[in-house]
Amino acid sequence: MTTPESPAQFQPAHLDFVSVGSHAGADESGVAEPARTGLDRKRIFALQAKGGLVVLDPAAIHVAAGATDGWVDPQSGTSEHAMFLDTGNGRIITFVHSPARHAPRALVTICGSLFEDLHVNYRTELLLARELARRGCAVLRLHYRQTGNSDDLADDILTFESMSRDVLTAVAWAQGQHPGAPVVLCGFRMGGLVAASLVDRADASLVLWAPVISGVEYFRRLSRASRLAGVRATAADRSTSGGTESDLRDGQSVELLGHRVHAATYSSLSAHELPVQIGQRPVLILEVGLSGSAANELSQATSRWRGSGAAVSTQRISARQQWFVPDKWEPEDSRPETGAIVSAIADWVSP
Amino acid sequence: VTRASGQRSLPSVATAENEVPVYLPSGAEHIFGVLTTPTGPASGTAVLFLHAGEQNLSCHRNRLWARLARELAGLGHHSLRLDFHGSGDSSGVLADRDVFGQAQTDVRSAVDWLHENYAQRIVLVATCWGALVGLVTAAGSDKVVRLGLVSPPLRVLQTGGSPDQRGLRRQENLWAAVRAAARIQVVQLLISRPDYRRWALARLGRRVLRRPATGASSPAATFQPASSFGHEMFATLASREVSVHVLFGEHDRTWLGLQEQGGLPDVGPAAAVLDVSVTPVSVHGLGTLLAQDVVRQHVLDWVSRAVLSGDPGDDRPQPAP
Repeated sequence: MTTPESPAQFQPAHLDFVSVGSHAGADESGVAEPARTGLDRKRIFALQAKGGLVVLDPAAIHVAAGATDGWVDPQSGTSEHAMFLDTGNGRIITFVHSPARHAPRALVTICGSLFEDLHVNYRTELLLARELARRGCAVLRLHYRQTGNSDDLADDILTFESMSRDVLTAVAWAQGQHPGAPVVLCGFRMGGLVAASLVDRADASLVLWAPVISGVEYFRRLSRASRLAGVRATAADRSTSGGTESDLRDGQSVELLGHRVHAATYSSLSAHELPVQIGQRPVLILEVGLSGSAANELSQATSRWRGSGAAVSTQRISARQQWFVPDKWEPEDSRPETGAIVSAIADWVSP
Repeated sequence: VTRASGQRSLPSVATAENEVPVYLPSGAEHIFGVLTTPTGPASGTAVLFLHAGEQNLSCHRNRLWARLARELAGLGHHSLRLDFHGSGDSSGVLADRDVFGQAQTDVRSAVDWLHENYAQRIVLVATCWGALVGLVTAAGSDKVVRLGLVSPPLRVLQTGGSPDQRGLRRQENLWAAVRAAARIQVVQLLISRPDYRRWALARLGRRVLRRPATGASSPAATFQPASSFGHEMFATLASREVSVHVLFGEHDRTWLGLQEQGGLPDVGPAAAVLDVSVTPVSVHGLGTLLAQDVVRQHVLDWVSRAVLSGDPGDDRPQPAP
């Protein structure tokens, strides 16, 4: 299949969801079977060598009827659409930002974070996607299953593996739309860990945006923010919003900043950290107000990756890290820090 | 829930399979929302969920709106959870917190779309600033039959709905007062409600005796219905028998702010349609699981009341009791 010349040829303007995964012959682990996919065995082996990532043949994608119109920005000519990707085990809401003309320069998938981060950083991620689309990239954003507007998971337990699976599904769908386009995974905070763990399989460049070193560090910070919010809360609320990292370590589900964190979720996410090796790929690390031991550990990881041939760029934005929605009302679009973050990433991905 | 076959069955919670993401034109903007359709026969009621504004998205905190939408779909109700322009996945910049501008257009567009396509009765459920926008919009739309407002900053009604302004936004003048009094709803109230007549006369008396306002820089006064459009709004809603449910946490700053001003505004005869609940749990921002559960219970109650009472506007067959 050749790369389309016009976005009108591949934008899902007339779809309400697109099914991939089981419909395309992949089992729940993401490994494709020749008999079910129609792909030749050589290609299946190539895919399995990448760790089981299913790079779907576009012809294998099941398209359902239904109308969902997107919209086109009259100034930039970029367009936005929303759809549900069907994993065969729940649907992932996915937003597609398409450039105005020609084949995209890159496929960028933004891997967001979780819990309160979803709200705090949501608009910035959208603004980044729009800027990248203006610069000629196709961009995907998604809500992991069990979060946002996506479906619940069968057991209601979010895991690192389910997040990874969702990102791979989105990437696979995008690759089916734009074969051959270079892939970039851009992960914010906890999403950075997911993105970093998938770069080999997706053969992608990597952006780590306000990265955390490990799942343990992520929950430590989240727990700290929750305790801070607890100090500000009234007695009636404080009694219901308790929950610490140590409770999670003890196998208890807790409430953190108004979100239920299941012990199994903590167990899964905290078992992951930034990989020791990242290969010889381009990496951007955008630090946002990172300090202390986390910064040291990140610095060590960066040195390691450079030592093994990765082209690692680092930038720092002196913005205040927000862990919960602030009281002060301020449009995200007009905050200088937001503009700096968007520019830094967009300049690196698509200068 | 009664199936088409006539057999009763337990309501089934919807999934994304029952949902469609949409971008609705709203003036020059495109506002994003997720439409949830019933899992069984439609009730003729649709719920429009609004969030609190900036740094929020259609599913609201901890996905409460998404979970509620899917639960309500199991009871036969349509719903749309909406992003205001400049928030979530919508276009634009939410720079102006005035409730009259583009935000009101957003809500009106969504209400009209739901009404034209899915339901005769629209119940509007919203939090914080979104609740204020919903309230103002509902007063100007005969399609909204019931409102459920969570921790709305009613205090700022006297500033014209904008928390950025200290003084009154709209200085009343004689012509505006005459126009307001000439509205059919007001005339109906004057004829049919002796208590409204008494209140209106008292208002006129105060107006005559009061010194003219000195402009937007004048110090914020205590909430006086005589000098706020809020009262007229409630009167309009009352004339249409639109119920307004309001839920506060007793420690919510929105509630405490009202207390500082002497409590709830005097809305005159419109008090008949105003139902205010105050809970020990802070519900502002839906910041805890308990708050989310309290809000969930109230929303289910508000919507069920809309169905049971057969709020005006419904000309579709009702589900069997």
